[in-house]
Amino acid sequence: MNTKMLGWATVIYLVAMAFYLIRMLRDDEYWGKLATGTALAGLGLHTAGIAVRWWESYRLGIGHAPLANFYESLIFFSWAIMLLYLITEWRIRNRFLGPFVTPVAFLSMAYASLTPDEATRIQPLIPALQSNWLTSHVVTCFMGYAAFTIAFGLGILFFARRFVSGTGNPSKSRGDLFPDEGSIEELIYHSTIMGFIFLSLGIITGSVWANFAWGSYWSWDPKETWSLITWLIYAALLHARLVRGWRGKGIAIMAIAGFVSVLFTYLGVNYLDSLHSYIM
Amino acid sequence: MRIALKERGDGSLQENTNPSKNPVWSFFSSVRLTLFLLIVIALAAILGTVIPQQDAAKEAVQKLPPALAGVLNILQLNDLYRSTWFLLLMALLTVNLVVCSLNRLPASLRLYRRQPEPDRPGLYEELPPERVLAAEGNLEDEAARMEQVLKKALGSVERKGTDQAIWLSGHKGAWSYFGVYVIHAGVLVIILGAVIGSILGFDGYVNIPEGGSADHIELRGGKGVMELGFSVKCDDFNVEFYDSGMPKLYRSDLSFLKGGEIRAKGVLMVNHPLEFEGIRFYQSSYGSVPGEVVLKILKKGEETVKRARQGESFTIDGGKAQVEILRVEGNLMRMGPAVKVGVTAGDRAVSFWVFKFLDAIEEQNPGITSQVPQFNAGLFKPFLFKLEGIETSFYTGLKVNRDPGVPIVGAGAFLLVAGFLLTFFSSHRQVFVRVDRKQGKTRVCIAGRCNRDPVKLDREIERIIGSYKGLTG
Repeated sequence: MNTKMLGWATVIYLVAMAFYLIRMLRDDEYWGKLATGTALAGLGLHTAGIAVRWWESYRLGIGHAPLANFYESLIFFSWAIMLLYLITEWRIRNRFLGPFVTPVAFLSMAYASLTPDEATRIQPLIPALQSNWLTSHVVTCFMGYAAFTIAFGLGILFFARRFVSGTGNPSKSRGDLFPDEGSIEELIYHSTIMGFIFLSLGIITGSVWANFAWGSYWSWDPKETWSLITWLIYAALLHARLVRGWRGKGIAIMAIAGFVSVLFTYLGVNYLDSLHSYIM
Repeated sequence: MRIALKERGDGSLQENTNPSKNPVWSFFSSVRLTLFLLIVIALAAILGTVIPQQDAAKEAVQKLPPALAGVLNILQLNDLYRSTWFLLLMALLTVNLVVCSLNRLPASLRLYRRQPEPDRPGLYEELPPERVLAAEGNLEDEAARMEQVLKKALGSVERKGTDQAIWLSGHKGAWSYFGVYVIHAGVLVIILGAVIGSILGFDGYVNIPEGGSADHIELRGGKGVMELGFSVKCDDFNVEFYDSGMPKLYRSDLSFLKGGEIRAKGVLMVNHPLEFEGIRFYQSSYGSVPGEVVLKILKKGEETVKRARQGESFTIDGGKAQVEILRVEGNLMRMGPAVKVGVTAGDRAVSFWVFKFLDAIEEQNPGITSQVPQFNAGLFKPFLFKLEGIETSFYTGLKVNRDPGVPIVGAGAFLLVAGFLLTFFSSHRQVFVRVDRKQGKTRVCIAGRCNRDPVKLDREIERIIGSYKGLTG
């Protein structure tokens, strides 16, 4: 039941992604409204799917938040991206970012749907995951990842805009399509702050949990280490901007580099020998 | 003296451009150094996730050419996170953090204490039309009305006046200048906690068989053995599985004994550590070891059953022959459980394997016991050995540690989060009002300044204008 709902949400996100693209290419807000409506419908179904999955786990007598394996983490990652994206769209009252962020949410869902049936089943928790810290740790980490995804989308947009307009100056012909570089970069900065706070909370909740489960708040496990590497990159971004006065290109490059580190923290670490490997 | 910090529209603090006289101080007060260290530490940490560390490194190194292994060893790349150079990088970052913060603190204090100067030139030029209000009353009345509104919105108001104009000013959130210092203090406290933990704490492992006890632990990283000062007994160990085969529960029932007397008992599970005399125990692993071997020894219809563990001995033949359990194998050469026994009687000594499924083995390999005397369980004539079974016993694997740094690290994390809230969710918002007369009418101009979050300031000013209009209307 829940996997079917989530499967449909994936399709809806694909449609929303297409509408956002059409809006950008045809510069027509009609498609924009359609895109937002579709994305909202997708998020609604997605939320319902997660809720049903949660409820079903209780019906099976193994009740736990659906955040306990790789499949569930991909679903939640995508959910967090769409939620943060739609909030951002509403706050800036502009849809230019849609074509750059929705693909990540869609890909995460699509990747989840490729999971073999066995692994999509609701599973009981292994001893290491039987903790009250599971939900707060996973939620904070993935909200952080999602905020960094928004910053990454903006970083790509920053260079896409340069490619389209040919110069660093505000484009005249497609002025409405993309905002000016300053605004994009300001948004990168704000998304990075959001991600940085959530990542910090994710690391802190993870440390508290590790101190109970593994007997050490920090053990240089590859996942821990990569989360620190990600944290250091974004700390460098914030210092470069706030204290060294970096603007524009440098910040956009760092937002993209930071996201590569996020992806490695999330996915790449599973290929290393990690205590977190039960997530895969 | 020149204020080195430039206040910007978005509230960022530009780097202190005042060159310090002390070259060491100026080196460490550079944020370029901070960026460099952040990136270098990140790169080093990446290296540590690719190169096998500590115990895993020992196996990996043996496969490498000796020259390469030597390089890894000299650069301490196999224990990178505890290597001298990595700790040095961390120490440099710490000094850099302290010096930078101290260097900037006076400027932040000046910003915090700075007088509002609501009559400074330029403040009310280029105001949007909705921030310039025409009022009905006289100068004094309108100023008093505005003062009332500002007081309600911002707490306290300062007033300055001449015959032509009255200036009012108020502000909120000046302490937001210190958020960044709280964040940095948080990082420093976390580092302090980690250092204290690594100096005063310890970290080790111990395996305790079911029914057995331990009074010392093996310290991590081959640092030897540590006496606990009490003993831990494993009364029971349980592992449960779900139907799918996934583990459901690991549980050790432990007793803590001192002077042979039970002082405490507890149930240890994953995520639920136990503490005794300041030392914490964590359920870390488990395993099974071959336990007692049950042998049946036959001699002309007479049979005796003997139980012993590997390395233990017993006697047969009325004490004339001694049997030692040399090896215990759960599955020898894919032929099932087997035990190697050595029998000595006077100057006669033989050793042979006793298989549990000897009948089946002989059926598949006819004549094997005569061809391979080692496999002949009747080699010590006239006795015939039979392996009834090998019992398995579980041991529980505990991680044992004490880390007095934990509460300090926790306090640091708390400071870090508090600092984030101060830095990113609060701002210093100043509101300046000038009430004067223009073309025979009273005019009220409202301007604002903030160190960050101009949207919040705009909302504040809109609210102030709203309540001011409400009072006049």
